[in-house]
Amino acid sequence: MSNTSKQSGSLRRYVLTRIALAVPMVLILLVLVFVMMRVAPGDPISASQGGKLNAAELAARRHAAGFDAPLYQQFWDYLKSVATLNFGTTFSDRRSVRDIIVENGGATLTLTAGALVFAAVIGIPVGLLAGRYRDRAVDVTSRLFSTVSYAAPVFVTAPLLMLAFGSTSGQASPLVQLNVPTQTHILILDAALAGDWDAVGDITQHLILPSVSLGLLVVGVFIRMIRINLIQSLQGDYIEAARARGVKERHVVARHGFRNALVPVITVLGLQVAMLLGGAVLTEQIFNWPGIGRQLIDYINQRDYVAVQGIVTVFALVVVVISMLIDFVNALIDPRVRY
Amino acid sequence: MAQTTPTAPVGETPAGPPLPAPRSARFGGLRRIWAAIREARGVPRFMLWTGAVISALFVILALFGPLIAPYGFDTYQSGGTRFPKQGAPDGDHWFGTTVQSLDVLSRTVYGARTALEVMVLAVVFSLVIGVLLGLLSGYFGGWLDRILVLVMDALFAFPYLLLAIVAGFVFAGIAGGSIITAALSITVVYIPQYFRVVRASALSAREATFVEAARAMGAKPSVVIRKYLFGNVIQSVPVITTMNAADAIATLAGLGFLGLGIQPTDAAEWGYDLSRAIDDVNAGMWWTCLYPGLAMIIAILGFTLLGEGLNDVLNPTMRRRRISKVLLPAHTRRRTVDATEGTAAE
Repeated sequence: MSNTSKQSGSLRRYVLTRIALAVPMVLILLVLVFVMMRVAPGDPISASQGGKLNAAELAARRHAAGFDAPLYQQFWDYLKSVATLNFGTTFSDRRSVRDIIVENGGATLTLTAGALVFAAVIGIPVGLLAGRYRDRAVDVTSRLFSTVSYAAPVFVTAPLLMLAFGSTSGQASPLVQLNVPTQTHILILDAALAGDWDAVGDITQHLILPSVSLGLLVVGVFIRMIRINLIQSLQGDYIEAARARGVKERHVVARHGFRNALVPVITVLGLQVAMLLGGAVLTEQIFNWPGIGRQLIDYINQRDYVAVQGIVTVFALVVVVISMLIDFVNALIDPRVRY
Repeated sequence: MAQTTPTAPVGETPAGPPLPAPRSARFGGLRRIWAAIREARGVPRFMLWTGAVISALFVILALFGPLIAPYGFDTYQSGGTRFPKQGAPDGDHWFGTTVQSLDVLSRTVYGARTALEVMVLAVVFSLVIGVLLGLLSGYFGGWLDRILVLVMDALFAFPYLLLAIVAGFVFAGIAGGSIITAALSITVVYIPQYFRVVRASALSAREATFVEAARAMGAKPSVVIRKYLFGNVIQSVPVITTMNAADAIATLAGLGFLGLGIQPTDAAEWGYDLSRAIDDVNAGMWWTCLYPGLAMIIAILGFTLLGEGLNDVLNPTMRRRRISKVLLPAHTRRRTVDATEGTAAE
């Protein structure tokens, strides 16, 4: 009894410590983003409006936006905009970065979720097989596959996939006009909530190629992680013990090996989020996918510093929060993590 | 002990008396790597040598690009006649031509040159900065260490492509898109990796007895770092370097694909070519994306295989003796049995 309460207490302490540790990380990230944006020459106004306005007007606009304020003042304003989850307003089209995240985030979420599903569906069984039959044909093949898929950037696999499947996947046809109320900003969910199953099918069809392209980027990591985990857990003493007790090899692998090899999958997932977000920027660009990454590139091309700063900040925060959540789940599953 | 060795290396004199770590041990780490490579068998050996051959071919292609490529990377005519626009592969243009009438084969070959230049620069930059910072941080500790660790962890947590994009955006804003700025953008991503690994090994090497002995004999920190830490720490670097080399090709192409890399007029770059090829793909043209894409995959694959092979060979937890298969699982401590059987067989 006392033991369980002590354990839950240590979990709570772990969570609190982890949050406390994330605070300086977030601060450093914010400083980094801020500094990088200030190192870039000029300021958002001159960059975006330079040719269009005269010097006096530029100065007035700079003053109005606070870009002639001292740096610490600007940093304070930036911190405030982050704390209020507002992240500033873009210069080129006067959108709040928060609106961009809300309106375009759904598309990015759909894409990354699709990619993760693909990576898990392919990666987990292949990884387990490869680890089980180490150095056999299936292992060598899967290692080759994972190496090649890891080596191939999204912008190589995507056009090749488009060439191979372009005609049959409905990729060429535009998305049907959707007449569903916007509730979640996740198109596929909105369509499903409205009961428009034709639209759901159409969206799914359009989702396949981008998800596969992005998923191929991480499936190799899945396969390798699971393979190594299985190999290492099959070397464990408890596996020896199970074998010594006369448990059938099939059961040893399935019940003792697989299960323990799958626990780190959650960590893999977490580690891949950063990679997926980076890859999503490219994938969205290739497939004209209306996500945050595509917005980011648009704003970069317009040299809209505020928008870039805001979106990059959000990406950074998402990665920190997700890695924190992954640590929590790990601590919950594996008590050793807590100590 | 220290009293009996009056000629201890106080200054820069390398001709000191026999020390706990003699001079030849400075690159002993690298020699150990070579020994492990020669011992490699099976899949790791295959990966290692395949990777080495592909990487070597890539380097040769890049170095002798101007001799191999039939035309220049920005040549759109020959003998006064303009190349066909979007021409399919034929005898004159083996890999076809682009919408700008450029020869795809020449651009692919010159792309290898650009990739190699950026790759070498990025790896050297990050290696120098990362190893230096890691050594300093690991050896001295204190507030410098704490700040560096925080900054590096923050950089490491960042989605790496995004970091490269932001860095590319910033550097290109300062100095325009050139090979140097592209390499610098990629460098930012890799510094934390070297820093982490080198700092960790510097931390453990710092506590080693021979370092303690050197310090006790009055060696200056610079001497300790150069002579005793460096050789021990550098062993962990080759794997990261080859992996980074592979990654640098992909990151450079990613930047180029997004229009944040090298100016397209300055050099041929695979990522930029691929970004132009996306439109061709929608029109059913395959040669403008296939050839630069394949070249990139093969180049990345070469360095990845090399890195993975090295990792398998050098990482003791992944190393496996050939004869371990004949062992019966009846023993309680299998790993110890592995080791003893292995040495007995040798």
